[in-house]
Amino acid sequence: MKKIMTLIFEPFKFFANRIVAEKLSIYLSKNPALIVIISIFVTLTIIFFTYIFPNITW
Amino acid sequence: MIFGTPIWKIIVDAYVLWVMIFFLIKFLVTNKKILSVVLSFVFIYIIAYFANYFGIIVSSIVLDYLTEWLPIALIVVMAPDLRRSIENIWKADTKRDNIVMGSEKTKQNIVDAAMFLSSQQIGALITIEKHNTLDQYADRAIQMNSIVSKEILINIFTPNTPLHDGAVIIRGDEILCAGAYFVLSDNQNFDKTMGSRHRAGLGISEVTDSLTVIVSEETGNVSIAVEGIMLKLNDRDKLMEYISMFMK
Repeated sequence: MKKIMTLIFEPFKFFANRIVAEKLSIYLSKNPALIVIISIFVTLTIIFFTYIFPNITW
Repeated sequence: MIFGTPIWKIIVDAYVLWVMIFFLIKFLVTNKKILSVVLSFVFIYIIAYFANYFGIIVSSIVLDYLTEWLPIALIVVMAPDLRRSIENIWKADTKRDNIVMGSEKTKQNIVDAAMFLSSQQIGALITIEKHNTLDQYADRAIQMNSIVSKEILINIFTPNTPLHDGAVIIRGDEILCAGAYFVLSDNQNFDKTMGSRHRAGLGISEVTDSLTVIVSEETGNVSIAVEGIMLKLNDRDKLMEYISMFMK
């Protein structure tokens, strides 16, 4: 029963776990260039899905 | 023109969007607590998307309500953290490129003071700055700008004096300030018997790359907090070794 419960709650716990956030936060603080790269990537994705993707005829 | 839209419009749009996303990520990174909650939200949003996509009716109704109210809940619950993060985001890059660490004499003075205070069971909190600036804490404390010496450190932490209750921040060979207050750590695994001095030392080590020497008032134990970890070191040589390693 405990194993089943663990299986159900584990994905939620993984995302709610502060260690993940901590590691991510520390890593991004140490590599500020990564924030620029991620923001460029997200921007280009949004621009693609806003301007280009709706106009593509398959 | 790209699909009927002028290129300059797309470039301006992309630029504005990039600036907003950049500050949003920077804002999230400055506060681990908010980042953790936002990651949980992202997970809930993904589940809600799939629940809608696959037409799971009840779950999608509940999750839709949840996704609508979660941002409001975030603002209400995490107001103090949000305020702190917004304060930090506008500050210039808090990392100092040219750091000057203390000399051998400074290290010796810190260790001597910590061991003396320990022998007298006087509580102390000495934070040594590295790359991340501690200006935001120093600004609200009593400015010292004096050369580090064992006598000054002992005098600062002598009970019933105005500066004894708070931390001393050391930058290079200087005592930047005394009576600084840090955000306490909310680490759940932390020993509950430890006082707020230890929690403050651990708290500052979690958010910056500083090293904090903590002397317990109750037991006289000397501990150091660095990178969110606390180590008990009652040995003078060990303390010197750690401080020397940190102040290289």
